[in-house]
Amino acid sequence: MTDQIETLAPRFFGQRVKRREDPRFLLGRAKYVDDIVRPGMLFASFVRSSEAHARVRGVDIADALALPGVVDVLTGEMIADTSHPIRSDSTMPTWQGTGFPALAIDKVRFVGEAVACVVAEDRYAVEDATEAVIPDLEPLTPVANMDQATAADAPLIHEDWEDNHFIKRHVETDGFDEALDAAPHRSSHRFVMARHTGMPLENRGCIAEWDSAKGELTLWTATQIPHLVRTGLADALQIPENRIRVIAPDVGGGFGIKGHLFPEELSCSIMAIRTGRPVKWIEDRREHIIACIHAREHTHEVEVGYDDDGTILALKAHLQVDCGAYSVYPWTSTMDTGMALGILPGPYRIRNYYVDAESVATNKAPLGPYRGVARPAACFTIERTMDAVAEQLGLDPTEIRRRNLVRSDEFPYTSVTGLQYDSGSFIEALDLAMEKAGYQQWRERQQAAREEGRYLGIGVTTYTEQTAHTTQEFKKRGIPMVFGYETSMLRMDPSGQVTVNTSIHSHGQGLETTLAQIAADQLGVSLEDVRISFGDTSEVAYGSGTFASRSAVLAGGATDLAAGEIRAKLARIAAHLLEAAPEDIEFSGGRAYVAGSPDQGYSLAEIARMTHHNPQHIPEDEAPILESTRTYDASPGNGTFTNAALLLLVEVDAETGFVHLLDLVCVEDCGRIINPLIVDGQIQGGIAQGIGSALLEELVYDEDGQPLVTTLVDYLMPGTTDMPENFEIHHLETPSPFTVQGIKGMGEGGAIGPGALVASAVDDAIRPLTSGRVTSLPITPEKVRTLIEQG
Amino acid sequence: MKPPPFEYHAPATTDEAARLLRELEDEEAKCLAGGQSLVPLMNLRLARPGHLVDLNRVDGLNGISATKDGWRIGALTRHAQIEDSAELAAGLKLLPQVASQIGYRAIRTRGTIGGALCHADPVAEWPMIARLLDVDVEVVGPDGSREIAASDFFFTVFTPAIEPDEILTSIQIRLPKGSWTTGFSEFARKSGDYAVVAAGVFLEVDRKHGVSAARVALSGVELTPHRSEAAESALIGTDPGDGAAHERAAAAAADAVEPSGDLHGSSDFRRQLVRAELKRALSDAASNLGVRR
Amino acid sequence: MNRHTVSFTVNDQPHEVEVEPRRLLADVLRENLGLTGTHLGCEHGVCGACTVLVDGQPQRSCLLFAVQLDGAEIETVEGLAADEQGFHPLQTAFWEKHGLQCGFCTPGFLMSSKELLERNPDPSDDEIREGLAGNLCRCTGYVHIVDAVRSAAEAIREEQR
Repeated sequence: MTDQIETLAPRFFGQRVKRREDPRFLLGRAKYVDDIVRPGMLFASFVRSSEAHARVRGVDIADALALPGVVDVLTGEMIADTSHPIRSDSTMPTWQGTGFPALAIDKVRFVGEAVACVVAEDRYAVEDATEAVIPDLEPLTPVANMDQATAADAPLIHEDWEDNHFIKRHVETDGFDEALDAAPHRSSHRFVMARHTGMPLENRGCIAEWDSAKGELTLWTATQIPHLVRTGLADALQIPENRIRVIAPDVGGGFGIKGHLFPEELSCSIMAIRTGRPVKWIEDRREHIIACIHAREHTHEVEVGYDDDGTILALKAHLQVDCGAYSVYPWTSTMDTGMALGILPGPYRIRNYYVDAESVATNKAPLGPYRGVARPAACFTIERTMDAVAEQLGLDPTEIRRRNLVRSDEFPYTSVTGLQYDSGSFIEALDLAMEKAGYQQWRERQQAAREEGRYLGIGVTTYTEQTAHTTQEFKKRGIPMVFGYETSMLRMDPSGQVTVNTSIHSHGQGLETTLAQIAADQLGVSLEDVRISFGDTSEVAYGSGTFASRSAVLAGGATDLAAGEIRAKLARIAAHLLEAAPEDIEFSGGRAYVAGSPDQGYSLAEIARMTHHNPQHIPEDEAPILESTRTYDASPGNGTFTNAALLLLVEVDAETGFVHLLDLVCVEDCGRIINPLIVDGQIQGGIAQGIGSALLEELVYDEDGQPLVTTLVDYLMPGTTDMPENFEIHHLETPSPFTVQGIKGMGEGGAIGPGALVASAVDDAIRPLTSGRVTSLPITPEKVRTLIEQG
Repeated sequence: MKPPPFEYHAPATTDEAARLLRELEDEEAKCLAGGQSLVPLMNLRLARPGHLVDLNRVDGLNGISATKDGWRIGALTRHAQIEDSAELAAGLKLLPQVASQIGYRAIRTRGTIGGALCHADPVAEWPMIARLLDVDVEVVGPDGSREIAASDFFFTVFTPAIEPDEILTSIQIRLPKGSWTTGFSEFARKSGDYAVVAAGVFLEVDRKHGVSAARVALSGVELTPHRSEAAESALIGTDPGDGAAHERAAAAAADAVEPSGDLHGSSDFRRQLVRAELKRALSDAASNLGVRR
Repeated sequence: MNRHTVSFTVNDQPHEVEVEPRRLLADVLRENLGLTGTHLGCEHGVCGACTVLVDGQPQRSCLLFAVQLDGAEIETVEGLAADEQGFHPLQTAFWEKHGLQCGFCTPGFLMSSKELLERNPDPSDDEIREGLAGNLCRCTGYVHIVDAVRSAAEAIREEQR
């Protein structure tokens, strides 16, 4: 922690400040990519593969080129020699990598893979022309799922590979077999989480513009990671990175899905260079569903050993993730397996652990990070296992957890996989959730309902979420880029106004407000005096972007440090002017003054103007600028761990299998809270997405690798009526001992628990009717009916 | 996702519309009513009519009116008009009840009952209700008008028994003189989503002998709306409030159908839903008996 | 290519546009008239982001051809207020209650909510949820949206008292 914080009296930190970015959205004046118009702009559209696995024999573009308004058509073959495919390779053993080309060259490997790009004067015309491009595809045997992919005679998706595995990993603690053998009880389980995805309301989109005079490319794109897109574009297009400017304007939700470099961004850039005109591509929803990033398709087999008290003695797991056809940039196809492998033991004291984890390639859309990355699946597995052990021992599901959770006096706690849980309130959160819910009253309601032939169930879930992990953690993951830090550049201009340029991107998280709260507190100015700027790589210093629940911690930390430096400089200048000691200077109300004598001072505007325009008045050894750039990596870099406990009451309609969500209580501990209003919004939104995972969302493929879900008519997302009738959030605030201000990340957390939570509640509800238990997500009404029917 | 090109026509009368449809018969002309099913299909380029004949400016197609033995509903009447109709709420509340279940409000303000019947989606509400109420569908063509019984109207999935140059103008609902009641229940994965299975019942009730005539219709079980004779005959002579009779009728209906399964529900699951939703519809009908329509 | 001239008002301003018949209202609003507050999220009628009011009724601007709308009165999010001082009570309430995050769905929610409150000035929470079931939001989890609509309803009733 920095020493400035000790002396700081926060005025905005911790307050329910309403968001400063909201008016432009409420007035309909935000600028998303599709709202931007460039002079002479063309529209792009993609011809996509209808085959899951096929050889590209050729692409007939002649008819399309002849259509009115069509300017150019591009195929993979035409650019095979001039642009590099997108590569994102792991440095870990057993890794087999892929090149994801802008447009398919020799083979297509999933339905929806881009085969050709058409540009035309008008959006409607370009879609007409896209229909006129005829790819000649020679079908190959598709590999539609992990069983097919791992079969002995499976066709190879990538012909230079040895088998269809991106990576195989194994971790095992010393003496594992003995520990498992010694356990008095053992049980085995298999859990499946369906492929689904983040589905932001805004589809992907970009505009590429080439300035041939300067040899400079500008790409406006709906991304969470503008700098990383710039680096990836530079590598693929062989354009120097200082000739590329990436601008992420207002972005309509990301959730991890927009944290990638996409082939379409390459194609549009190439088209802009070829045509000399700006090229806009706005993805449509069907493309988004079949051809964008998918997520979460995990199958876990576990064997657990435990004693008579329910103490978990050993955990053995085999994790398989269907990663689709290509490794995604910049994460690689190791993300989900690595995260699941590391966090599976969750918040529990499990010391003997054995795990095999595989990232499997299939002929499906590439799998990438989505809010929570593997943690929803890991949580589902460990929590379902806890419920199973509790049931076998006749313990209350809350009791089995209490017996195994890491206790408060054990922090910092190093998990069996080497994660350092910095601080937390695992048991306290569970206790508080039970108290707030009225757990015993819920049990009484359940009993009374059963007597009337109604089936209420109570679910419980606890988890810990690794957030804001930096160098140490990403280094371990063996990915090419180590996302170690974020950067904030803070500048006070001659009028005393503050601009914070930061390397993260805010697309709903409210960072224009929370970062302003931090900067304003440091400098004793009002929120209106602080402008937060991000998204344009030509304006802001290099950094990674917004993902992994890191922005409040890392950009918040960097902003706090940079503001602290400006504050210190202002204090030195003020002290010089006031003939006082810098440590006696206080800041508030936009003024710097001698402690105890608020009249004896200057406004920051006066000091700022003097610094820039009358530098003769400031100390000789001070440069006449008020500017600081700081990076922050939240050392030691393993991340700071947020935790939560959730309780849910549901009613299951035994005749139809429909699950009604009645009451949900969430107790979350994300350390010190900058803005409770925003934190609550993040939790609610995350839980809603988790409810989608739990009950509704599934990207179904058939045995030939054809996607059966291609519109929002078939891909069901939670709406207003799918949320719990009553939804309560309570907070504990256990500061991180490591981070600036004790902040922990929390953006992803809400999405982690609901799968496990709803499953736990549904099982509890239908227990009188069946011995069957929920083992897969989503829990469709039909699955509930099937369980009831099996009795 | 933009629609393919087409030519647009906005006739002012049904005659003009019918004439246009005949003239353009070889050019894939199609009527545009509310467009809430057609336009999504066009945006997805799954439908590509060469001409759209917009019925929204044709006089006399919109409205709800009482007739001597029931109701006449104009083809261009929006779902939301039916949902909000105070007259129907008092006279045939089944219709507002069903209308409120169709899609979302912003779909219901535009989508029309006539369009829904012509779209003939096997999981949609109005085709099932048309079969339940044995409505007569009035169509106008270049050679004049004719009435088609609901039982003849739904040829197969997405295919009404209507000529390419005919326009659906209204539906006629004829109600029996004695005491009757209606019930409806549907199962959807979420509010506003298409129903997987829906059930409607129309019971004529005699104080002495209970149910004297029964009609039971189901959606989501066949390519066209299904009338369950098994359930209908099981209900005759029962007390409309008899839960055990509901159970028997629902089981009979479920046993008699062979739904094909799809993404939204297997055959077995649909059969189970028939059983659950029909029971609920019957229970709804019983509770509506007290309030007289 | 055949083109039609269509006249209508948007937010009380008269407009005349020449369009191909297939041109969707949403594209006319966004591209011809520069009113980019109306967003396209699915273009098949499910997500509700493009909801506008046509003659006072909430409708999907992705499912209407502009050519159909000669003489119509259309209202979009831009018509609610010129600036934050003039916010409609719904805009104030969405701001106060944190009823938006990325903001992409927000214009659709505002327009649907406006008509909902005109039809039902004192809705229950269930009625609000049911009334907004046709608008998807991927960020907020809807809790604060329902809070905002309830709060706006109170404010409007108070205003009218």
